[in-house]
Amino acid sequence: MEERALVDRAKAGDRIAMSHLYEAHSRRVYAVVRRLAGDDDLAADLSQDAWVRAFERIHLYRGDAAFGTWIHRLATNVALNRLRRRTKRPDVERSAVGMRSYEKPSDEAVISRRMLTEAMDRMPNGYRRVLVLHDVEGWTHEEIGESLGIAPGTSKSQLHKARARMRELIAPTSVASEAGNSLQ
Amino acid sequence: MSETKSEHLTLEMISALLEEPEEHAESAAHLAACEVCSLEHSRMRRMLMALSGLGEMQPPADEWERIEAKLPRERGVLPFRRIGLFTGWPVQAAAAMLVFAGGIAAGLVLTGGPSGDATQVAGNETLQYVGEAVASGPETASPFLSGQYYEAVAELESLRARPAGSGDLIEDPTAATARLARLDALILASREALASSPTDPAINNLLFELIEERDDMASGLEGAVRLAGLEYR
Repeated sequence: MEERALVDRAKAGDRIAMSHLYEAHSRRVYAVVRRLAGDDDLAADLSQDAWVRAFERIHLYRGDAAFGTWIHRLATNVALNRLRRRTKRPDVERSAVGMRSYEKPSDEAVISRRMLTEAMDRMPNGYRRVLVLHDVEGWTHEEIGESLGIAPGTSKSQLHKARARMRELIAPTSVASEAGNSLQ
Repeated sequence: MSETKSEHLTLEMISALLEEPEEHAESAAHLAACEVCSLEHSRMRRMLMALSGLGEMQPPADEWERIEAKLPRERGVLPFRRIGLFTGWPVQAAAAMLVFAGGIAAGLVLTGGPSGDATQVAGNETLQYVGEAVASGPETASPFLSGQYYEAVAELESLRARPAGSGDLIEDPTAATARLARLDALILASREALASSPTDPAINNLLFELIEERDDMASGLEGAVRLAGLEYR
């Protein structure tokens, strides 16, 4: 059945249609909230919350964009809003204690998905949000600034710091990470 | 070129060179001549390629069951009815006022009419409080977005400044229901704005904030109903 028809049936309260929509898009939705959350338990809550909201408010979806785009954006907003409210939580880098270990890559080694995920999980929330939105989700600095309430320039500088930290977390022994002063 | 530590680029600068090499001509010149920094540049680029290629992730196995358990059981059931509002006599009286106040409030919002002090405090501080995500404003310029958006944000802030609770309903049911009506009117106006700009992040965020606020208030009123039921038994 076409997705448009599934959406129409879901708007009418059809649970089967909802489950088909969920099945088609759940992995993409979970991926973005998991990466933003940096934590399995929080990600499970956020993803669940996003889907419940989506189906409760599916009448707001008018079909101007693909359903997958709509639910992805909604889930991202849900995650960002919830993470913004968790301001009491200290925004610090997490310790590697208790994490699964991974091999540090040689120059030619393939950077694995798990390696990236574990490094992102360790980063401070602010760095992780900008890195995920820009380098994984492909948002512009203007879009990030608008969504997070920061200036595009701030987003840009946060991104460079985040990438640098990410690079160090993945390969702490790299030569440039040990370099001292920059030229500028 | 020598490769002493002090001459190498920082990782932040290497990242900046990947984004805007033309902005950092001196560092770009160093990069072209330095093998160490070139190697780090290619490592960083490889990391970014890996990040951009990250794919989907498998959600928890029981996620759909959990979602389904939280969905409304009846077609078209509104949150207020789902949580059992509008059942006790205090709330039935309040509900009648809600309809009346809602009509007035919706009229004010949709016609851009005066809405009290709240519309005059849409300064940066207010916007920041309501939510950073909506503070920078909408990206398009429909009538709602250009004018009433900031009024709506200020209204939300104003409504949040008076916490919902049982005291409001018991002591001043008119005010409590007017607040609910106001939120409903703002939600309605935001939805209409979304019809012309469905992907606008600011309007989407505002709508989510409004709906959350209304749901929170509805939960508070539910507690008030229970309290009233105990007091008047």
